[in-house]
Amino acid sequence: MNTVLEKPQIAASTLEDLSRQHLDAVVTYALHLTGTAEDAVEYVTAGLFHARHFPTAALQRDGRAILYRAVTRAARQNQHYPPQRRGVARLFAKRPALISLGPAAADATRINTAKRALLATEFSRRAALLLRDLAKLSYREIGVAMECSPEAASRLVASARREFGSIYRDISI
Amino acid sequence: MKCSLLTLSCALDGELSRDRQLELDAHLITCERCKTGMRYLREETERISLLAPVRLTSTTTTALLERSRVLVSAPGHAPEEPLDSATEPGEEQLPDPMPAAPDPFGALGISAAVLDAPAMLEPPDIIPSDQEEAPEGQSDSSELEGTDPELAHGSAFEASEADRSASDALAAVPEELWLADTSDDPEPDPTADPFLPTQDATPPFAEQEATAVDGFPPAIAPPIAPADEEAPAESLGESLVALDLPPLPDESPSATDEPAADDSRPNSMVVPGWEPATELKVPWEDIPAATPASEAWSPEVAGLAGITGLPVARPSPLPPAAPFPAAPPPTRPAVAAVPGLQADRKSSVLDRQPPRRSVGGGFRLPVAPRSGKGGSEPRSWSRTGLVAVAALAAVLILWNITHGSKPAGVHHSNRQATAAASATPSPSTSPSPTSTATPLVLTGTQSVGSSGSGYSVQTVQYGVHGSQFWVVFHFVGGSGQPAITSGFDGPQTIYLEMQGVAPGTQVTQPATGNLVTSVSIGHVAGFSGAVYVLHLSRAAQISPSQLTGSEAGAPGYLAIIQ
Repeated sequence: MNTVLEKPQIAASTLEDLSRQHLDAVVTYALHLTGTAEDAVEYVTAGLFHARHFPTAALQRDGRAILYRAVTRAARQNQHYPPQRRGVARLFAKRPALISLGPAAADATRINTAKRALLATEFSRRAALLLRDLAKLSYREIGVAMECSPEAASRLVASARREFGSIYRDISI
Repeated sequence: MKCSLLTLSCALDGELSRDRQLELDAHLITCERCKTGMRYLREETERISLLAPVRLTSTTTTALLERSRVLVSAPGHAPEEPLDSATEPGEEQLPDPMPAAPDPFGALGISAAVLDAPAMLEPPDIIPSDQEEAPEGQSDSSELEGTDPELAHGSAFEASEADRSASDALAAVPEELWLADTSDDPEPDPTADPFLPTQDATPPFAEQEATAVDGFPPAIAPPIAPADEEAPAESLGESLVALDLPPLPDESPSATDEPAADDSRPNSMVVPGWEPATELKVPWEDIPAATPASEAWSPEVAGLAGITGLPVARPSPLPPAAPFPAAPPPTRPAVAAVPGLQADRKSSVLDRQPPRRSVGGGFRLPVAPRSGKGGSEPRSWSRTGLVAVAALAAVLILWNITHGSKPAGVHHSNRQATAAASATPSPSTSPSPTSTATPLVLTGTQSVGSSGSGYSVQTVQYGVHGSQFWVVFHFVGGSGQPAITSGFDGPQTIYLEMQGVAPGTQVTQPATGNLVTSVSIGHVAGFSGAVYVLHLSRAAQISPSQLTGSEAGAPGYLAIIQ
C-alpha cells in the first residue's frame, strides 16, 4: 500500500522573502566556497532555481538552511544555471549575460593567505567551516545544509578546522 | 577526560552540554595541550569570520532573483508561469539541473501560490462575452494560468513561449488602444490607430493586390466573410449563370444526374477552421483546375473580375527554374545490350565483384581498381587513406574540445584550490648529493651573516607569494649568525653555501609547477658547510635574508626568488 503524502502548501513569496533576506550571506558563502564571483553567481542562481523548482516542506521549518543546502548542492555537483551544454553543442550555445557582482565583491575576491588555505581544503570541510564560522549556522542547520546529521556536522567542522589550520600554518611563512 | 579536538571544537561553538562544558573547563586548567589547541581554534575561527562579506545592490539582487525565477512580487512583472515550465526564454527545454535531488512533492506545492500572482495583462474589456459566460464546470486551471488549455496540457516550453509572446504583443500596443472598447466605438479613426479594425475590415481583393511591399507580391488570401453574411447558394449560382458558367446542380436528393462514384468525394470543400461562408457549394467536377492550362489566364480574362477567392496564377518573382538534367547515359552498355543479363542483375557475370578480404575482424580493405579499364570501384588506397586520416583528425579534435578543456578529476570550483595546493610541499625525498668535481665559480654572489657554527638544517619550507617563491631553511642548535653565500651556476641553478651549518638528512621537494623545480644537497670541494642546489624552471633573481629566532621561531635563512 502506498502512502501518499500531502502536498506542501508553500507560498511562493516565502522563498522570495527568504532569498531577499539572506541573499547577501548566501552569495558571500558561495563566493568564498568557490573562489570566484562568476561561479558564485551561477551556483547561487542554480540553487535558488532548484529551490523554487522543487519546493520542500522544510522551507518553512529550516529557512535559510534550505538556501545554503541548495547552493552547496549546486556547487558540489558543478551545476550551472542555465545548464551548460555538453559536447560540441556548448560551442554554439548562447550564454546569457553574466550578472556581475561589481565592486561589492572586490574585497571578497581578493586572495589572501586565509583564502588560499581555505581553497586548499576539501570541499565538504570548506563548506562546513564557512557555514559555521562565516554564516554562523548551528550544527543542526549545518546538518540540513550538508545533508548529514548534526553529529556528523560537528565532526566535519572539527576536521575542517584542523585541516585549515594545518594548511594555513604551512603556507604562512 | 581525554583530549579531543572534537570536544574543543564543540565547546568553541557552544554546542557542548553543560556537564561536558564544566568537565572541559576543569580539564583546560591543567592540560596545556588542549589550551593551545583551543587558542588555535579560536584563531582559525576569527580568520574565517574576518573574510570579507558581499553587499549586493538592489539591482543585483533583483537580477539574481529574476534569473533564478524566484521573483514573484516585482511591480509590473509578468505573471508567473507554472513552476514546472520554468525555462529560460530562447532556451530549449533542458533536463533538470539537479538530477540528484528529486523531490516527491514536485512543483505542485507552489502552484497554488502562483495562482495568487497578479492577474493577466489582458484587459477584461477585450475578453469575448461568450468566454465570460462559460459554464463553471470547465477547467479552472486553464483559465487561471492564462494559457490555452492545449498549451497547458502540452509542452511547458510552448506554454511559456506563448505567454511571453502574448505579453510582448500586448506590451507593444499602447495602453489606450487595448483599453478601448472597439465594439462600442461608433467612429474609429483608422489613420490614428492602425491596429483598430475599420468598418471595411476586408478590403476588396484588388486593393489587397495593390499593397505590394518592396516589390514582393502580397499574400493571396481569400477574404473571410463574417458568418452572418453568408451568401446563399442560389445567389452564387445566379452569378455563375450570368458568367456563362454551368449553374449549380440541384441539391435535392431526387436529383439523378449525380454520379454515384462521387459519394467517395466531398460534395463541397470545407477548410477546417474557416468560417462557414468559405464553403464552396460547387460540385467536385465543376471546380476548375487549381492551375489553369494557360499562363495568361486571369479573372479579368475569364470574365470573373467580380469574383474573389478564385485561385490565380501569377508570375513568380523568382527566376525560372533550370531544366531538369538529362538522365546520364548507361554506364554498362554491354549489359544493356544483352537482354538476358539485364533481366537478372544478380546472376550477371559482369556485375559480379571479386570477394573482399576481411582483415582484423570484419574490417574490409578497399578493393584496388582493376587494371586497364579502371573498373567500377570508385575508391582507391590514397583516397581511403585521406578520408581515414581526416576522420581520425576530426575525432581527435572533437575529443580535445569536449574532454581536453579540463583535466580529469579537477573540480570546476577547485581551480584556485588546486593552484593553492600546488604551493604546499610534497612528501620528503631522500637527498641526492650533487658533487662538483671542478672548482665552482658562482656569479651574482650575495652573502648574509658573518659568524656562526653548530647549526644544522631541520626543515625546508616553500611558499608562493604572488610572483615570489620563498624558500626557508630552519636551523636548530648552534649560535651566532652563520655565513651563507648564494650565487648562480648558470641562469637556472642557485648554490647556497652555508658555513657552520650541517645539511639535513632529508630535503622536502617543492610541488611541481613552481619556480623552483627541485632542491638537492650539493658538495663543493674545499667547503665544509652545507651546500644546497636549487634548480629553477627559468632564469630568476634571489634576495636572501637572515631570519632570527623571534621571526620564525628558530633561526633560519630565507631566499626570495622571483
